[in-house]
Amino acid sequence: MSRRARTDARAIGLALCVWLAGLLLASPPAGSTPDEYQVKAAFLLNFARLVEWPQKAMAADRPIVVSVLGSQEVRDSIAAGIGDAVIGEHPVEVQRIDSASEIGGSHILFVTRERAQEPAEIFRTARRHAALVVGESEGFAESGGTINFFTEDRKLRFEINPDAAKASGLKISSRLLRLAVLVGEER
Amino acid sequence: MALLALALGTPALAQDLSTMDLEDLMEIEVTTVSKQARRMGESPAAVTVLTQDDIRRSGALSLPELLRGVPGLHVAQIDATHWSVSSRGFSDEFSNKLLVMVDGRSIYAPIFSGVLWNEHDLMLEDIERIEVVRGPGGTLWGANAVNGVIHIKTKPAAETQGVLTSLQAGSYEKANVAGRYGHAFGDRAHMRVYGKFADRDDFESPVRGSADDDWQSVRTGGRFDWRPTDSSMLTLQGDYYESDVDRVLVGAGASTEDNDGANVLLRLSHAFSDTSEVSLQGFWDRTGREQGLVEEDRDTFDVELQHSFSPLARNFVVWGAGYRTSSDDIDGSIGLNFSGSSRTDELYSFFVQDEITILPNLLALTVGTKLEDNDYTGLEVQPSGRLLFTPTEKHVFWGAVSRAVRTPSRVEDDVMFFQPTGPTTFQSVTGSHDVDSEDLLAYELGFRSTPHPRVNMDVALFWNDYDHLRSTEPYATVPNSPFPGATTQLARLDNELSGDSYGAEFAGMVRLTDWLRLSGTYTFTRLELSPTSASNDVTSEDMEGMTPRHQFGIRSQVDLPWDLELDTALFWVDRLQGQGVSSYTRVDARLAWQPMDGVELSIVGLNLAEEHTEFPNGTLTQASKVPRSVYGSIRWDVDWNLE
Repeated sequence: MSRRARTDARAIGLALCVWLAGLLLASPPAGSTPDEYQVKAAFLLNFARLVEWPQKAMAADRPIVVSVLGSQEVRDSIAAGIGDAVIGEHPVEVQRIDSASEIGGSHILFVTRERAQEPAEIFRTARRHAALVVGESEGFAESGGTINFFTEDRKLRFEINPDAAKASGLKISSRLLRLAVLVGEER
Repeated sequence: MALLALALGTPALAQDLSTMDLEDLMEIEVTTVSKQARRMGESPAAVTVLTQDDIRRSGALSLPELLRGVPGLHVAQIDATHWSVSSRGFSDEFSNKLLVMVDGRSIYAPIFSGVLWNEHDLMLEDIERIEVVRGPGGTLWGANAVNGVIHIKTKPAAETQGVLTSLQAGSYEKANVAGRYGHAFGDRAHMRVYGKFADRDDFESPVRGSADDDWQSVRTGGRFDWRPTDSSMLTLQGDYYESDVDRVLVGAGASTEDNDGANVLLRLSHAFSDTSEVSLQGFWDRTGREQGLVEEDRDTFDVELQHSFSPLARNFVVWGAGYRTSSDDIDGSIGLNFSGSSRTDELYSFFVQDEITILPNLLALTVGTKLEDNDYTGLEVQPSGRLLFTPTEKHVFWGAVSRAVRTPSRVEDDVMFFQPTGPTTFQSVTGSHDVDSEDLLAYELGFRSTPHPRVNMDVALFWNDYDHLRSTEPYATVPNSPFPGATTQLARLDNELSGDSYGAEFAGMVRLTDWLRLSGTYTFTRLELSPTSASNDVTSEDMEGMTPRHQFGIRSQVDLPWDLELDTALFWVDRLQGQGVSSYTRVDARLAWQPMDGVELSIVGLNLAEEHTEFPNGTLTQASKVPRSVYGSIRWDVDWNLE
């Protein structure tokens, strides 16, 4: 096409850039809402306080290990949210894992929505290691997860599958159960 | 500096959160609209994602083979080293309406706007996911994303730590050897380096013995990721490859081809908040092709800026601008030549898209456009509008109207192609500077549902209205040329085809039990093309026939006791009408055993049902028969680090 059309294209492009720069400068400062995963980390701390692990899985003065099956970003965010919290006499450690085979030694396993496609093997391994499996995907608790986050009016809520907790040998306090939406396992 | 302070400001808030109890936490509003973290179910487009697990369990050892069974795509192996991969029709040796990227770097060859799959023999273990979007992606991605976008994303370096060794050998894969080492520099910097060598055998020709189409390739590269703060990231990655590809050229006999290439990509990104992120990416890509008929050297340099933010409540804006320059140096032959032995093309692009929440959790509208200025046709505008309706969390409806264009490639502008069409008949086709862009107006509807936690389904319907499609216009016959008694037909490329395509794509998945997963796909595609009254084109019926009308696929993944996995897949592909290719059934099977963590032994059978051809002879490549093949594989992943 002609030179003219090209000049026009650049002019339109430039005008739009200026308009957008204006929009950007006029936009309110971002970052007013907290990071989703830092809030979820705070929930995880509360879960850890209100769940009782079997004796063999929780040695005295050993740390509580939170494993994140997901990206490094989510791990970092959760680690930032947990900070250097201590539960009872247990410090809390956050690590990232890449597959179900690395679950051993974890007390809480957080499965991000990107990694929730193939949960069957995760649930099996987690039950063997008495890990509390927490997800954030629709149907996660029904298909065998113990706790699952969902949002309602932009606020975080969670559901609990008591059968899954029992199968893992975990005791969940009545206070936690009261705040949760209880779901059953669908077979 | 202010931005940095903002980013560092968040941990203070986190400290407060960690001491809050549940009742208070449940009152906090959170934002989850991150472009990357967006759930597949929420995108108003026909999307399929292949995860690393899907890749591993498919048993496929090359990129195009992995894409078999993705609804809406047609993957046909022409010979051992060439494939036609197309989305929603227009299958061809040089299929050109699909954009393919690896980590944000476009890998289609600008000379003909298609992908030479044998140049991209990636290390499959390092792929994190492959996102396939059917339908126009022109608004975000620009020209060439007419009928689909395939984005291959490799894992971040932090996820490929330790040492991986992978060996495969079998009846067709003579040797496939790959190794990778990943290293951490503290918590915030990670790298990996990898190398891969593959030696593959010939297929059989349908008419004589060996098809002379073996393939050797070497590839090496690495990736470095550095996260200086929690919200910023730097990625530097690159690859180098050489491939030695044989094939038989139609009318010209056996051809040995050497390809090599290298690329370097740098990307910087920073998140100001959950809803505001900026990234700047630049890459340089060099390819060298020494093929029987033509030699090409090409350097492409590309830089892109992208910014997403939420200027007003309920609005999420993504905009970006880019510049690309691509220079080639071409040495042709009598059979295939180009006017102008070297050429530099420039491309300026700009896009903006706004996602507007009309009714929270119910209705969202995404509108946007791309403006692109190229050296062939000037300014191209590619707008789209998409509507997402989510009446319940379990059901998603979407619809879209988009315009997309395919701008001419170097071939269409400059080619001079001369080929025998019979013992005494020849054809000479030349490109034209008047060739215009191919236009598409696409209408799409989709539905996704999770009727039960163990069941997913996805349906997409499309109707595409094409205009100015490329035609071949014969305009004269020259007697006694190139020798006495022979005739040569002269033809030039033009834009005199138009028509429709329509189709339906279905994908469903059922997790019957914890150990059995079944999935199925069905694809219906139909093209109806015709030349305008001014045209003498005779290619439209071939173009229609090269895409199968019906394709079925079924896949099962079974987790057996004793750490065994049994995976099987069956595909049925309809005949290619008028192309001499009949329907075929393909069966793949894989049995794998994990004797200990990090070790996988497997035996894989590919195309076990029948030897068959999948595609007719192309303009250049002679078709081979796809054989039955079996290979054994060992993968060993150890968590070992140089200290």
